[in-house]
Amino acid sequence: MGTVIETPTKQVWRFDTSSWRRRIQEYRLLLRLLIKSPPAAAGLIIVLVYIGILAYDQFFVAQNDIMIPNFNDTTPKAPFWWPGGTAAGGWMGTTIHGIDLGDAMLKAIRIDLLYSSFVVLFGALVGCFIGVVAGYRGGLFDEALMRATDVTYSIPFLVFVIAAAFAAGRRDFLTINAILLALWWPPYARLVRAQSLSVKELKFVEAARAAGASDGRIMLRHVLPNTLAPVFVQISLDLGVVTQIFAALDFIGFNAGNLFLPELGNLISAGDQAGFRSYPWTVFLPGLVLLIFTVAVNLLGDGLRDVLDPRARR
Amino acid sequence: MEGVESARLIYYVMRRLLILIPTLLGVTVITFFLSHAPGPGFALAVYCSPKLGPCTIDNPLLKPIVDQFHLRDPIPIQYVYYLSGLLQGDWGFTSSPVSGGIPVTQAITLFLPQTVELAVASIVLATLIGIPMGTVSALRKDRLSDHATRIFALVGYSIPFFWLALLLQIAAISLNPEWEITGGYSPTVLDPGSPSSSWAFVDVGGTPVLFSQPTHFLLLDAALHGSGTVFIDALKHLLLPTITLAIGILGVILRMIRSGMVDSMNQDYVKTAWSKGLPDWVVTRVHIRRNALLPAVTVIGLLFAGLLGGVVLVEYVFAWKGIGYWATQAVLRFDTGGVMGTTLIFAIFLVVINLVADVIYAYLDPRITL
Repeated sequence: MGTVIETPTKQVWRFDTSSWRRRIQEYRLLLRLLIKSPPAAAGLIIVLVYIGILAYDQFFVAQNDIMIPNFNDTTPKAPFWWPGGTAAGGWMGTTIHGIDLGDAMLKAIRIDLLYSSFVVLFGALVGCFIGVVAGYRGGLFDEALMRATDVTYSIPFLVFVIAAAFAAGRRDFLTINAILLALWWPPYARLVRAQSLSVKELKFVEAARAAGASDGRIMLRHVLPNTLAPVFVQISLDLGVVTQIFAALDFIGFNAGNLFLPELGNLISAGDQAGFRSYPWTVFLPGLVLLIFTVAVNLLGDGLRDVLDPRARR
Repeated sequence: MEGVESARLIYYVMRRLLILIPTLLGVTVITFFLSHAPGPGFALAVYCSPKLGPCTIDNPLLKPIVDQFHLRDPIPIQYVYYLSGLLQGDWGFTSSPVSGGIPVTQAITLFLPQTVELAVASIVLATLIGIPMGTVSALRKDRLSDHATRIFALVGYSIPFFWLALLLQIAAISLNPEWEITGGYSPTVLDPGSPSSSWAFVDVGGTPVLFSQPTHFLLLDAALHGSGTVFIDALKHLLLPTITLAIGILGVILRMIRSGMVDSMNQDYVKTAWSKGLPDWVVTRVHIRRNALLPAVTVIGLLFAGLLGGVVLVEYVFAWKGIGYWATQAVLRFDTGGVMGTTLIFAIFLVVINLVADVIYAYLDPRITL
């Protein structure tokens, strides 16, 4: 028994710097190609600005989890550049309960971006692993996975989330987050599965198998990295979708008991309550912030798709 | 040959219908899980009141309810009861749309037509605008009108539905302050016993008019009654929600048509068609666009998934009394039957639409292995 000390696994999992360096070079090339297309570059810049706002809020804004009301001054005031606005309204005006809209929107960008990227990245991570195992191994697990995703695809997503929140018995922001975390992996699993079905037939996988690599190693080191291109595109597009889902659910009342949560849907809903017919900016401005982010993310996603999949170039 | 083709199509449809069965069973598992997994207290909660004592299955006062819903049985047995109830048309009761509660199946006959009306109207509008715009965009590729159309498409599919709905309301009100935008239809059940005798209060110029509803499609009913004012009023109410949804779908249809046409423009058979000296409109319509329409058909099936999500929001904002409105009301009012019923009907709706899209695709494209 004492002879099995020198196992080859130690060598197999060695950190291989040369392959990482090659991969980083590849990504640098992709970035250069990406910023050559003006729409994609614009999308990238806007997304970076939003990330900058997130970082600024995270590190330099005190009390960044709550909108600060001013109950002495509850009538919404227009921003100074709005027709009929006064200097008292400031840059972005105020909304219901005397909340400064500019301040609230900055905080809302942080919350929305942070939570939606968490949902998307977690979903992508789980989906990638499930998908690569299903695609590479096949068999019963694969079949079960496909039928399960069929079922989740046959219920409109928003309806599914609403019903799940109902079953959870709670309607707050964190419950919605938990539900989205649990439900966001199926598209990624399908994407990666479809890719790995073709990748696993390629010569280098056969070579790895001939060299005696284990299934786990082949899946993680050879199949998975080569299925990631569409996953990046999907991540980029999904960021916009999830942000909108948060906002939409918040808007239709899935933010029970947290009126002062800085969240774009909550702000739009607050504007709706304030009376958007009299104070249109309270609805218009937060929605515009959401729209610009979604447009930027879509531009970035389309640009990434063009770069990663040259056949789809138009 | 014709007979063989149609036989294959029928075979294909039958096979697809068989595949639907496990999918729909999975959906019922989900709806059952949603209502029963949190424990028996969830199903009981609607019937509990402080006067009846503790809200548990051991409470003797709640025994009839416990027996009726088989709450003492194991979960799998309860599922079988639930499923057999579904198959026999017993979908439970919903309390959110009409006070006092009506059977879910009856509520569906009240609300589903409104949603179908809205969804079909917006798909038709989006297709009618999207196909010509996509064609123009592809033919004038990289010119100003193409860029404008692409930006329009991008904004269209990025825009949050509920925000667009609010903006359109502001715009409509600034155009005409008298315009009654939300609601417009409220189903009213005078005799909950029979689903055929449902009526609606229709708001015509501020005065509610009682109106019998043979089909529940308000436009159709108005036409059947020969009532011009109700018809125009219904159209007015339909306009804004339809535009909201159509703008969202339009972007995707536009993109599909444009990219499909740009693809097929470089194909050899198109060059042949040009070199034969065929007129412009024949080449663009018959050779280029017809091939771009194919993928658009499948996309419309996929679009419906997003559309039905959007329907929930748009119906909420416009207080449009459809399935989506009912679903949100059911959640906010803790109405288990309503949530399960709407989830199931949404799933069936979506699955059927996808089936239809696939069948149309298979019918249009002879290369599809049926």
